[in-house]
Formats: sequence, structure tokens, C-alpha cells
Amino acid sequence: MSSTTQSASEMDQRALRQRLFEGEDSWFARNRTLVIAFSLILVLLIISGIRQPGFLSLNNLRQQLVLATFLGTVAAGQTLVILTGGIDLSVAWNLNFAAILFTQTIGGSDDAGRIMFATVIALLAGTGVGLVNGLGVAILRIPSLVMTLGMNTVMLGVTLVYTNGSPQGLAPRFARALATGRIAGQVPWALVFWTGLAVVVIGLLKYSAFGRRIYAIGNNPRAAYLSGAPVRLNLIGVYAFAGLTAGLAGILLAGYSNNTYLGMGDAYVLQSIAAVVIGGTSILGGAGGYGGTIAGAIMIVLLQNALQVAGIRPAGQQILYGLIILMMLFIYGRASKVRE
Amino acid sequence: MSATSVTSGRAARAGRLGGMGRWVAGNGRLILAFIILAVLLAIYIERVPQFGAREQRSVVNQGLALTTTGFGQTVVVLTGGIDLSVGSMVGLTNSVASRITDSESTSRVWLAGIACLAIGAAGGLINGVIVAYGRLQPIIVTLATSSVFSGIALYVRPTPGGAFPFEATQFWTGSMEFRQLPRGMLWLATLVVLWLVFRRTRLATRIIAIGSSEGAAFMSGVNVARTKVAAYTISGMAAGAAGFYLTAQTGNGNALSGVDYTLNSIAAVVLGGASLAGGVGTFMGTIAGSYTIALIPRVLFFYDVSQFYQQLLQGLVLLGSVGLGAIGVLRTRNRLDKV
Repeated sequence: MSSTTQSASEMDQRALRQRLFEGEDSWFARNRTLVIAFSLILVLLIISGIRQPGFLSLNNLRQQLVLATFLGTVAAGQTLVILTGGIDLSVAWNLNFAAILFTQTIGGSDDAGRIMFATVIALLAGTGVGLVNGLGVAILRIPSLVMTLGMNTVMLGVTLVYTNGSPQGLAPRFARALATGRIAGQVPWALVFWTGLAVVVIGLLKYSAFGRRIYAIGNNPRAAYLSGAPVRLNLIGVYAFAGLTAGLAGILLAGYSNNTYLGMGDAYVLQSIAAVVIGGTSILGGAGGYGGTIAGAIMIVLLQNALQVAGIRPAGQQILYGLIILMMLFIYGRASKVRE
Repeated sequence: MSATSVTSGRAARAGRLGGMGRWVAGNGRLILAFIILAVLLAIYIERVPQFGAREQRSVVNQGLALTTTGFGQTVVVLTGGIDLSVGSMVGLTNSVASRITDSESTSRVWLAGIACLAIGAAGGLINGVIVAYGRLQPIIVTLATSSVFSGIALYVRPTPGGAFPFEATQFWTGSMEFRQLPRGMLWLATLVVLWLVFRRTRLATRIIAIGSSEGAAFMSGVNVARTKVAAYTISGMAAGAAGFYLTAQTGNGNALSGVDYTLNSIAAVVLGGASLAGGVGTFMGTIAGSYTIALIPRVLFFYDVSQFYQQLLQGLVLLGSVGLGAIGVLRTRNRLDKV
């Protein structure tokens, strides 16, 4: 009797193993990029932990996750845009303008109404920029690279003209709390925010018609159009959402550094693209998701921290950073050969 | 379906026109680029007190490094790719050149020039090999190598500095004996001749074939991978030449000197009427685009407009020109194909 239960559980195990690892439809095959990305985070943690035990302290890891939140927020919009086969280069100055608009509108006031107004205005500005991007890409069919590059330069100009070169104002208490505060002294508010954002984005991509169409457009815009999907409306929505996340990141960053400055968003263009790609989303669109991007954002932030802790100069950090992106690209697999 | 009707409509329109008209109809974006440049130049000359040798020199020199970078970017964009590493390559070669030259010996200048071209070609070759044989997307590959190049540049020159012989600077950026014309015009003419020669080579035809349809090019026997490698190598070499010129112009080296060149070179190529989808574009358009971008700050300066408007105007010119070029899309009923 005991032998039959044993063999039954053995069979269960085999079936489970089959479902998880074997065949094209197994869990592992479908989530290969996710598994690779999160395993690399583990490897990174182990190596850095051996070299520098302080690296694995709760405090340091918590701090790194907060930093990853900012990148992860920008990269949320970037993920959607890249999934449609586009790219958003306007996040740097869209983010920066939203942040400055936020602090300058508040102007040091403590009035709750004014702070609310400033928040809404900053988010509207971010979304508005995204909307213009979307109109250019969807209606005028300007390549997203050019459209968002132009918008980035325009927003840089708008920011300079608006601030006369020196941004004013401090971040209000709620933004500081959101970026640096902790619940009960333990769980950072930023992480709560990021979790919420992740649930919304992943839910949107997996279960909404809007999200499914993003994949359809990224795979084949013609087929998506011919099957009746409102491609242009969808694209405009995607770019507007990317603008919104840039605005959100602007408010978070303003809260984190307690003020705003010119160039605070510069690093986030390339890093957000890198986070998406390291997370396994195809730069051509149509495949991937936000789960991978989360791993990508954490990996980039951890990597920077690990290289710093290891005492490698910024120059060396840049070289390694580039090489690691290349390595990831090769791991994820190459395009098929052109044959016709 | 409607795709063919669009093309045949255009062909019919062109058929009604003479040779000249046909050329105009086919090169709308290129002509627009030169009109924008001419307008900018006109309002600039109108305001400048005296458009003498010195002014001419600085106008020509200001756009030359960007134009040179744009040469390579044009070639890569023609294949349907993109090179986001040119800015870092300009910074890297600028740094290396400033390590080789000193304020005295002019013979070392030539060594620096050769080093810049060689490093540029090597970097471009690496890009090309990874893109072509690694079969990875150029946008992300060149983004990654760009990080590597600028890291190396920071090792070569952690802080700005170095020197360049004054006579050599005079030679590369000064005036010629002939009517005191800027010598930069000679370099510009050299680039144009290089382009005209290049355009007649088989390599150029293959590059445009790949950009128009990679599959069709492959089927007709084009070695797609090798052609791509050549295109990226040219781009790297052009960036190296720009890095050398920048050293002559500024007299020192800075690892970050190339930062603006990546996006500006793409903007110049697009302003010049090239299609980022590949297959369409010429270096002539890139020249117009580069000088448009280079002239904007000078025009604003002489019209006493705050420098803060410079970026705004530059962005609006880019979007406006691209938007104007794309306006034809609104007339077509066909929402499927690119126009």
C-alpha cells in the first residue's frame, strides 16, 4: 500500500516537472526571460554579498529597492511603448519639467489644496506631453524615435524658459514621505507605491483589451488594424500613459531629493530602455511584460551599487554596464536569419 | 491594394511633370531642408554686422563636426539601422587625440588623426559585427557599446585637458589664401566628393538595397551581414574624424565632448529628409540638417533672444520639419502603409 502511494506521488512529481520544465508550453519556456532575469539578480546578490557582507544588510537592500522604484516607474511607461514597437526618448525632460512644475507651483506653501493642485497639474503636464507624442506617432506616423527626441528637446527648452535656468521650490511633505518614508519604520512607502503600480500595469497588460492590443500592435500593426483594433487610439493611450509615469517619477524624485534641478531625469532615458530590454522585452515589440522590467530595474540599480561598493571607478562601471547589456541580449537570443 | 494606388498616383503625377518637376516631386523633404537652412542663414546674415571672413569661418566650422558625424549616421540609417554610439566615439577619439598631441609638435597631429580614424573604424567594426553576425537590434547594441566607449574615454581622459599646436588649429579651422574663404569649406567639399564617389560604389547600392528590403536584397545575392559591417565601420570612422576635428577646433580633449552628437546627428539626418526605415536619404540633406542645428544658437544670439529659447526652437524646428514632411499622410486614405 505504501508502495502505491509512493508511486502515485512520484507520478505527480513527474507530471509537475513536465508541466514546469518540458516542452514549449511549459511554465519555464513561457517565462524563460523572467527566470533568467531574476536568477541573475540572485547571482549578483551572492557575489556582492561574498565580497562585501554589508551589501546584503536589510538597510542597504531596502535603500536599493527604493532607488529601483524611481527607475521602475519610468520604465513602466517605457515597457508599454516598447511593447508596441516604439521607443520613448522624451522621458528625461518630461520627468524634469513635471517635477519642476510641481515644486514651483507649490512654492513652499503648506496649503493642502495647493499641493493637490500642483500634483494634478504636474501629472497632467506629463500626460499631455505623452499625448502629443502619441498624436505624432499615431496620426502623423512620425517614427517614435524622432517624435519623442523632438519632444524631449522641446521640453528641455520649455523647462529652461519656465525656470530661467534655476528651478525653485521644495517638495511638500507628502512627496518626501512617499519617496523616503516608511510604514512603521520598516516598509518604505515607495515600495507600496511600486507594488500598486506593478499590479495595475501587469493587470492592464494581461487582462484588459487595451493591454492585449498592445501586444497585437507590437507583433503586427497591419494585422491588428485589419482585425479591427483601434490601433491609433491605442497608441495614443500608450504614449499618454508613458507620459503619466514620467510625471509620477518626477514627483517621486522631487520628494526624494527634496528639491528639483535641471538634468535630474537625464539618466532615466537610457536606464529605462535598458531595464526593459534586460527584463526580456523585445525591442521590436510584441513580446515581454512588466514583470521582467521590474527585474531589469532592480538589476540595474543593484549592479550600480555593487560596482560602487567594489570601488570600481565610474568609467569602469560604464564599460561593465554596456558589456552586461550586450551579454543579456545574447542570452535572450538572437533574431532569425533573413531568408526571404 | 491601396498601396499600389498611392504609388501609381505618385507615378502618374510625376509622369505629367518634366524632368525637373519630377526631381522636385521626388525630393520634397530634401528641398524643404535647404529652404529651412536658407531662411535661417538669411535672417542670420541680415543681423550680423559684417559677414566677413571671420563670421564665415565660424559658421562653417560650427557645423563641421556634426556634419562629419552625420555622414556616417546617414550611411547607417540608409541600411535601416541606427548608430547611437557616435557621440561616445566622438568623445573617445577627442580624448585620445588630446593625449597624443601637445602644444608644440605638428608632426604628432597627423599621428593623432590616424589614431582617431583607426579607433573610430575599430569601434564601428565591433558595432557592425555584433549587429550583423550577432543578429541583434542596432538601437540597443549601439546603446550598449556607447556606454563602453564613453567608459574607455573616461579612463583615457578623466578630466578635460590636453593641448593642440596653435598652427595646426589655424590650418584646420582657419582661412584659405584664396579670397580668405574658410578652410572648413574645403573639408566640407571633400566630404561631398567622398559622398558622390561613395554613392556610385557597389557598396552604396547594396546598403540602399538592404534598407529598402533586407529580404529582397538577400534573395538577390547581397551579402547582408558584410554590407552592414561596412556601414557601421564607416559610421565609426566618420565619428573618429569628427572627434579629431573637434580636437583641432577646441584645442583640448574632453571625454564628454561628444554627448550632443548622437541625437543631433540623428536629428540632422531626419531633417535632411532621410527615412529612419532605411533606403531613403542623402548626405546632402544631412549637411542642410547639421547646419540648421548648428546655426540656431548663433541666430538667437544675434537677435538677443535668451539662450534658454535655443533648445525650444531647435526642438520645434525638428518637429515642425518632420511634421510638414508627414502632412501628406493625412491626405491618404490608406492607414496601413508608410508613405
